[in-house]
Amino acid sequence: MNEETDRLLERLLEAPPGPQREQILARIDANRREEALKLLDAGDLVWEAAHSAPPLEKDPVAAMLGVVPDPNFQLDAKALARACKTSRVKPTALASRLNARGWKIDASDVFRWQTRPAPDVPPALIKAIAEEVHSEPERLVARSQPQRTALVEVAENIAASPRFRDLVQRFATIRQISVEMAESAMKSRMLATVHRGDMPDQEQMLASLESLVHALETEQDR
Amino acid sequence: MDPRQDVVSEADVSTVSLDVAAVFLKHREAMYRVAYAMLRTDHHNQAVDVIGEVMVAILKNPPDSVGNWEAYLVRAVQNKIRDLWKSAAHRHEQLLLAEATPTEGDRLGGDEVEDDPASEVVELLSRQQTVQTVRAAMAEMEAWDPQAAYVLWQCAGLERSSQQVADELGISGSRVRQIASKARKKLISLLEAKELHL
Repeated sequence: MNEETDRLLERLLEAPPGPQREQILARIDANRREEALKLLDAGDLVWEAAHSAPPLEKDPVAAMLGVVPDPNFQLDAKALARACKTSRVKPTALASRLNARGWKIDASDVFRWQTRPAPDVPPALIKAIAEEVHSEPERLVARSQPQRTALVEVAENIAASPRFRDLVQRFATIRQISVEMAESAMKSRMLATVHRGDMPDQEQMLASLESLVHALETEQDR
Repeated sequence: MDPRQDVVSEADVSTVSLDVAAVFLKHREAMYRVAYAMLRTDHHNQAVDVIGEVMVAILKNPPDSVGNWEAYLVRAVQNKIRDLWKSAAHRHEQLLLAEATPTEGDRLGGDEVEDDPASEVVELLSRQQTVQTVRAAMAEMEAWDPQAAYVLWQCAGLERSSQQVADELGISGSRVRQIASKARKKLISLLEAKELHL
């Protein structure tokens, strides 16, 4: 009897949540059911621990929203210092304004951005900074050489295609952002999407972007 | 220089609307956790697609005023998934899932649309802390018995079958099940030592 329960317990722990699990649980001796439930709970907690948000750079939604730092769209320290001076916005004030928009920023961050390269600042935050210092995102950005990996090369090939240019234009229009920012977001999204599985071909990557832009346009038309 | 330009008054701040991107960055963990939990036995929909659709909808039609963004986003994800389940293509699966996962909704804020969003968030945060405690306990188990921690993570965390893990490790399936069972018991005791009682 005990062996039978042990076998049931083994099967129970292998069963996914659902009717099968419930059926096995019902067949377990009442005096061992509490133990079985604890073991199930422990497993479910491990499942939850294993299922959290993907790393930022692998999250296509984050890429679409421009919160993935982009080496090709980096904040330029001198340009930011100049823009702050021109607009007479001090670091503390800029930090407060960005915080009011939902960004977790200290004045020390702004000081750092004005004095050192800031590869951690994502395009969406650069856009917010630009709005607060009455500038354009592109004016605050330093161009840098992208790292050449096989994946980046695929993305660059796609980026050179007329279809991608068209998608970037449409994305920029819908999101009311510059073409450069739209391009950054769409390239990041392409790269993030690739991390989800095998290396897709160019057609798949373009189709994925196309469906995103189409979804945004459809929402807009509603 | 106008000194007033160097400070942000409360009035200024209150007129500034939150950036959707910043809000997502802050709450994406909660969104993913809810989506993963609800879609655990759903083989048709993926969390990232659901969250993408939710954010696209918010971008195009930003809500007027949101008291609690975390609750709002979590609810948006839950509603989106329910909508998918209600669609004709997934009606059958929805019925199975409703039967299959009676506890997930309760754990992550309740299945009822009329639930209090604030209490949902409290529950979600508390569950998040529990999961963090589990991660810490798993790290301890890793030091205690790396194989046990690995087997538990693979079988319970990633839902690989004991035979798959057995083939990988070059041991029998029953040995994997023994190790996994021992690891679950060890996890429970580690959690109890951290005052987390299952």
